[in-house]
Amino acid sequence: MVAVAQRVGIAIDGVSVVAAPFAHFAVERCLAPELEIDLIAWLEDDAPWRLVETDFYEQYEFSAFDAELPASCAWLVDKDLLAGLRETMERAFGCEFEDRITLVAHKLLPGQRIAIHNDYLAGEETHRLTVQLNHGLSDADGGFFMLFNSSDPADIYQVLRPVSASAVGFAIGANSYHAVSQLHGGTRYTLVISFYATDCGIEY
Amino acid sequence: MTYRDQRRFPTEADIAPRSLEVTHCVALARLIEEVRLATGPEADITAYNRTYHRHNR
Repeated sequence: MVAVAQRVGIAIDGVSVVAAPFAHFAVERCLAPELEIDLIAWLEDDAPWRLVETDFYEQYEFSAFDAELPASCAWLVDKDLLAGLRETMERAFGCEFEDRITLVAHKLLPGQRIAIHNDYLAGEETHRLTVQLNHGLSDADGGFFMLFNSSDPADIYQVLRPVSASAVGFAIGANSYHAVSQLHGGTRYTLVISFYATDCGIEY
Repeated sequence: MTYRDQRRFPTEADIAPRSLEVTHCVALARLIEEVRLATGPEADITAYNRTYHRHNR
């Protein structure tokens, strides 16, 4: 499992956090190709997707900790791996995190989007790592991860393609505005790994 | 042919640069509109607002 952790974490270790418009980093590839392939196959064929519908939104999701993972993907919830990932995130953001981590998978289908928001709720998660998984989305497929300078959706800081196995990590705060543009084709899977800082020493 | 071989997964050749420069004003306007937060009874149920409806609950 150590070897898996090294392969998974190697691209995140040593990343440079950009402070503006909110503390974040982006990496091109954080998963070894064979792990990426196994994850996509599982998400596509056997993962326990649950359609959550309310008056306000709908989306497919599930918690990886509540799922029965195939042997090929069991590394995803390995305690040592997640502890290592937490330490990597601690080093990147200069914070200490609680032991608890949440790991949720999210599936976006054509026609769906995630409007501008900041994820911020006092006393809840403080940092997130999002990992993209897909079969290769074109620009016409949409599903771009967008970062903003403010709550104004026209105040765009950066637009990132949802390249499979790429990752974005960020500190959640009142100004951590981001969104996912509408998906027009394909399926866009995301792993959302959340962390809880106990002491950051940095005012985000 | 193995299970993996039957599927198309992205290769290095498929991958464009991560950051997208949106210079066309129509494309930019469409992106902005796609992520605008709808409010009121006309709100689009596909517009998931994670500030209020986060999926890790």
